[in-house]
Amino acid sequence: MKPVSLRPNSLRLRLFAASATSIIIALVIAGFVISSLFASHIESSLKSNLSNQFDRLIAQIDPEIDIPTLKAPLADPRFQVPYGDIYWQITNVKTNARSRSRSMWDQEFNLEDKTLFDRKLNIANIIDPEGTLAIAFIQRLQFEKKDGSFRELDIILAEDLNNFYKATKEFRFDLLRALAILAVALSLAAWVQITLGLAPLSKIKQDISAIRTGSKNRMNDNHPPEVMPLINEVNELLDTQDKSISFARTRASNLAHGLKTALTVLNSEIENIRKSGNQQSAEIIAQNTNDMSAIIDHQLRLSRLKTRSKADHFATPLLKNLNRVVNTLKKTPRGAEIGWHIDISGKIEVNLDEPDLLELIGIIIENATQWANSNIYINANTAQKHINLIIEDDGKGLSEKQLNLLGKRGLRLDSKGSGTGIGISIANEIVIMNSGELNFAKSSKGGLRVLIQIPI
Amino acid sequence: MRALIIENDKKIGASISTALELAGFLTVLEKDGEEGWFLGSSEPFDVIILDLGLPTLDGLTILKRWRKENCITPVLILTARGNWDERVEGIDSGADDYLVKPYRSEELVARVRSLVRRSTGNAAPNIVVNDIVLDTRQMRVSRDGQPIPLTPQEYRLVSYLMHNNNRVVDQMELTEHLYSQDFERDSNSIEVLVGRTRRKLGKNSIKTRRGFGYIMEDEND
Repeated sequence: MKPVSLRPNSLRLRLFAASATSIIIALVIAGFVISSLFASHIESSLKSNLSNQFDRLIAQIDPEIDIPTLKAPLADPRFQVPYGDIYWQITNVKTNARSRSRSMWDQEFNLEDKTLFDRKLNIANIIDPEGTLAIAFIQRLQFEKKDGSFRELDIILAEDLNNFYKATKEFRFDLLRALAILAVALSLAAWVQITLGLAPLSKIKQDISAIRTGSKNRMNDNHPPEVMPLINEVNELLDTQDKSISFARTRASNLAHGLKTALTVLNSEIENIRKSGNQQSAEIIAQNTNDMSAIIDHQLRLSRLKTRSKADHFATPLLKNLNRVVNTLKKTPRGAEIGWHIDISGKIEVNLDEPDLLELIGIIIENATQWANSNIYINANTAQKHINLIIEDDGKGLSEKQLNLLGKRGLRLDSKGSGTGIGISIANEIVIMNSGELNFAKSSKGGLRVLIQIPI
Repeated sequence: MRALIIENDKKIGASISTALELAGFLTVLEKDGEEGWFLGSSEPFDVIILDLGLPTLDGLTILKRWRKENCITPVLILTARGNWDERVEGIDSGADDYLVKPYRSEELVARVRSLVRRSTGNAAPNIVVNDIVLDTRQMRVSRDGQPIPLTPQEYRLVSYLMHNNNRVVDQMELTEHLYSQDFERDSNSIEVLVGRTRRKLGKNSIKTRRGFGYIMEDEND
């Protein structure tokens, strides 16, 4: 699996950050709501239980006796256990006589706030015999005795809140753990979802890469429907670009063809002018038609060179294409007179598009054919990242000044160009575009030695 | 020598035709690719000049068809595009030479002559049979260094027989290669032409093989 790019502007990171933030916010809110609901539920359950106990307590009070007394003990066994978390206390308002549950042991409720003792039921938080917070039902009630008189009693029923707080705390802790696990699971699900959602982008990338390297002309039509409008737009753009390039090339080609046809006719007229005795005019016209032809040739050949990116890689066989060029030249009268000495062994492949390789070696070898006395020597050796292709002839060669001009790195002859320089200019363009090098020197065979370094 | 020119541009076609006729060739000019392919397939030519940029049927397709049909006539291709992949493709498709437009007429004629010579196994521009020398570049025939004045038709006869030296050439073949299609073929004309040329070159220069044809053969072989 390829490592995932997580640069700050990464679409994957942005989508994941948004998903993770949403998940965390949603879970925090859910945590608060669930926790509150739980607390509220426990509290209401507690109050409901206390209310029932309070009713039972009142029902068991015997109003005839001065000291408040229960007719029967309350069912909840916690009332019998010292500090049993649930307590009651009844006080005779008139005599201040008190009775209390066994759970209160030797403690009493002495509430300072006397307003709590009125005829309506009050619910308040008080400190219980254990010294902790408790919820209490407090009410002053009037009981009618058999003799028709009334007895007023202050009744307190309280339950320790420790259990409530403990249960709430434990629930929150469990809830937090559950929500944390849920957050991780949802985040992973979001990551998977984003990965699956973005998967078509890598296919689009592959398609675009294939178009760039020339192995495809258009993007596939099997992308998800959501991205198809984009794919269709890109395909239309590619079609338009292809049409424009094709149109421009056809126009350039037609223009060149038309001009060259006219120049060919003009050349035949030059012969007539020459034969009519006007040598000077014939030479002037001939020189100009040559220049025009060279300019047309230069621009036409430049328009056909393939622009390439670093991602493009070719494995073009050198020897096969070298032989094709040499065989082509051998067909010409000049090439047929040359002794060809090719010393290349093994399978050498170069990182150059085939038409560009043919153009490059064709220009250099044709140039050698033109200037050689009778022999051309071609050999090649492989270096670390390139091959050295050496082409030498046994002609008269070039002067130091001419060599310096030719060998200048990155030489781009002016756009007008002229004469034989056109071919070398094209060869230079090809090596520059393909990270190669072209060097000229005097050959030990007598003529020119051209070293072409081509990336493997 | 008969040359077929397939070139859609009228002016260029005419200029090639003129240049080759001045060089002693009989020419047939065709502008249409399909017609040109048919002519090349069905009639004997010594050389074909084929433009690659033909409108109906392109030159490379015509060339490939000829080679597939085992037509071995030497072909010189003309192209306006000088890029190497097209030149190589032309040669790979069976062309014998190529010329990039614009060219000079002398260059075209020299290439055509060279092609014809090479196709008959004569590499050098001068073809020698015994003491007779045919200078293909100067269109001159000499014997023992002395130029022999010949009419264009006589020159064509000597040129054809010397290009095909040591091979018996029958009357039909000579007629096809020395006269244009519209020429009224009379069996006597060749005999008269051979007789007249023989008188100028020498009695044993052109030998008659009765029932077969004529031959210029090297006596040293």
